Amino acid sequence: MSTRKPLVHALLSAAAAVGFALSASPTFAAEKIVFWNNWDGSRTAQLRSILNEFEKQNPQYVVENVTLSSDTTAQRMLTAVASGDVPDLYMTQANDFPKWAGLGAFRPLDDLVARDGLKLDEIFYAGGIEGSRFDGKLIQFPFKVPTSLMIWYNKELFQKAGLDPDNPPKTWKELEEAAAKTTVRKGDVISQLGVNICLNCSTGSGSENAFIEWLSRNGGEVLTPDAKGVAFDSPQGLDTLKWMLGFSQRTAGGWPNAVRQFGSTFKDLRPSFYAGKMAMIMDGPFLYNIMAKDAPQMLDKVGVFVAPINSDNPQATERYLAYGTPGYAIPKGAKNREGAWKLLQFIGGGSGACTFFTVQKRVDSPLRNCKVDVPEAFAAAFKANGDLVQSRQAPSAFQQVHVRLQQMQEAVLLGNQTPEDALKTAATDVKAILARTN
Amino acid sequence: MAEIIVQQRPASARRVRHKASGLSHSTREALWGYLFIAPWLIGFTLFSLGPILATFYLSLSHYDVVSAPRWAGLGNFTRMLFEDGEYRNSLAVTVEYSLIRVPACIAVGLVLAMLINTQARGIGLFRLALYLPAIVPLVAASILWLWLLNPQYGFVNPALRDWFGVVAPNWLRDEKFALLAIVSLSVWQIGHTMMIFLAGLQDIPKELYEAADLDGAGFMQRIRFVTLPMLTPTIYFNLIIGIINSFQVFAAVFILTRGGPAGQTMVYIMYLYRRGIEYLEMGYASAMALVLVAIILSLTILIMKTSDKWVNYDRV
Repeated sequence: MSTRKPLVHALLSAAAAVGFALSASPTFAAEKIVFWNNWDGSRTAQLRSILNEFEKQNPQYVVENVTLSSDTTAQRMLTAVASGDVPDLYMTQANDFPKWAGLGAFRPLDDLVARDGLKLDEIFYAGGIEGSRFDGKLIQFPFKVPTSLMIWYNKELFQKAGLDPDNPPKTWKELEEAAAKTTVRKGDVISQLGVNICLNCSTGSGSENAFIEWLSRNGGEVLTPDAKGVAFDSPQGLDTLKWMLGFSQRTAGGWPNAVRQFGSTFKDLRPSFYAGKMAMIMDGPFLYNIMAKDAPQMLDKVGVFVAPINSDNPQATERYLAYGTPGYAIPKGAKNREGAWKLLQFIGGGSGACTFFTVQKRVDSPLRNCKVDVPEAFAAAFKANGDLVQSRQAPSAFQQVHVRLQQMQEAVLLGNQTPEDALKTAATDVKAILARTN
Repeated sequence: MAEIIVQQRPASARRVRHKASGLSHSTREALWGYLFIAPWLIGFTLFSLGPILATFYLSLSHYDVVSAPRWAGLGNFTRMLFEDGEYRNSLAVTVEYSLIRVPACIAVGLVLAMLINTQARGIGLFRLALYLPAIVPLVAASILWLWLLNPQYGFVNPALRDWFGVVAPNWLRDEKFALLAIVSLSVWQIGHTMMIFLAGLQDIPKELYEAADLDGAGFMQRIRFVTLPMLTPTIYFNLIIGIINSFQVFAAVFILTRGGPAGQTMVYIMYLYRRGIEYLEMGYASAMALVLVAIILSLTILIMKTSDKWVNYDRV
């Protein structure tokens, strides 16, 4: 036997093994999907494990998860759009959605929805999906329902103040009565605050807008239905501002006095609420999962109710006007459009979306078939809060409108302008903004 | 007097041509020079010159990044100067910030430099401690300030309440104090200014102080008639740098107040950021940037022109 024979056999065997291995593994390189989002902190790892599941189900794709700080997202997206190097999937926030959608930065999804036969009404609650349209086109899938702020209250402090903890306020008058009774104040020094009704009121903080919250409960509108005109300069708008001012003066000796001692942002106020120094706090339903993490002992002591209405106005109903919805959108120029669409269905409207909210114990999923296990008392209030959302067409410059309204309410509460003057000047400015940007 | 002898190369040597390239020596020398500065030139052309030229063009247009720029002529400038109250507010806030910060930094920097201008034992530690804040990243320092000044859980307010019985304001949310709170952060990071003053102090000849002592000058007179006049070049330098930095303040405001409350900390760059990055009015933001350049340039020239009258470059 030739000495070369074993060598030839060995080479042939190796070639066969390599051939087998190649035939067993996919013959393609996995395509990358770049996903930009703001899911930071512990949520990054939770999201990653859900994206791993997506990759397992779709081995042709690999997801590059890019976590952005919410402070720098605007900057990153701006440079991405300007350079044409956009992500495949982008997480929008309520205020920047109309901005980018108005500029045509996202690919409309209607044709993809029709092609794949998705029944959006069966997948999403109406508020979320309606708020994801711009100029009649579906631009994104909502990742959460647009949520109105609710009022969380400390039952023990209610009881101490002689209030019925099982019968929380339903009207502005009842809310003021509860706030007055639960505020402990000697002169200007407040040792216990009833409530700060202007959360994130200062210009530049947050996307919440207390004026819109309260105007919604007073039968008012912010803009005309076509989003091209101003509607908040109405008797309801004026009443709302006057009520916010009067409420703060009567219960806390003025809004600046409450802010001086307790602050006005989520981060300022939550620790005081947990410590029993505030009887009520305006916050979203998402406070449930935040409290479960940060102050679980509070969950047994608190209740929650939808923000009350102005009972003096017969037109006032329980509702919240939502301008813009946070969601996931595919930017125009995305390199992997098909992959992005696949991922969007999974993380925006499919099992990934529900799992992600369930592990966080979040109660504001926009999906109809995604239930998080929360105590019945909370669940009923959350459902009521979700039902009162009414989405409105947002102009592309809504962020500017939002900031201008924040400036208006702040000027009134700080005593720098009368409600009449503030409303008038804000209306003039918002008209100019809309004229410039429409 | 020493004679300076300048040796010149013979003309024949200067005209020598490189055999291989056929280039003259001076041409080759210039080429090498350009080659060495090429990295900077390329970087400047790509990353600075382009944007600078684009800023001029964009300032005369409406540009939202997604669509092509639309010609606006001087529209952005007229809107800025005659129609935009927020712009005027941002300019006023920046001027106020500079008027507080620049003198405060110069005064505190000078006092600290004088305190550490000694050869006492362990002075290195004090110098280190005073310089350390200057190398703390601004973002970290701002977050530290957020916590220190938190009305409920910070250090400052409870300390003022417990030790002095003072009900302190919510510094960052109070119209009167928010800007001061931002200035205080800047003053805390005074290390660079302090070190420049220290170098200036150590450059003052000892003989001047000895002469002042012989003339019976006291501590304050020594400062007034020796230290300050001799330090004017250093003060001049710190003044110009301080003004330039003050007009460009951004990060601390962005993290601490976002321009609030009621626009009281809406400094120029914060407003420019809002217009350009948040509202996508890049044309308007470009016009704002150009006006800022003009303001800083004018102030610098003004100070340079007046420097003859108060900066003392005399040396013994």
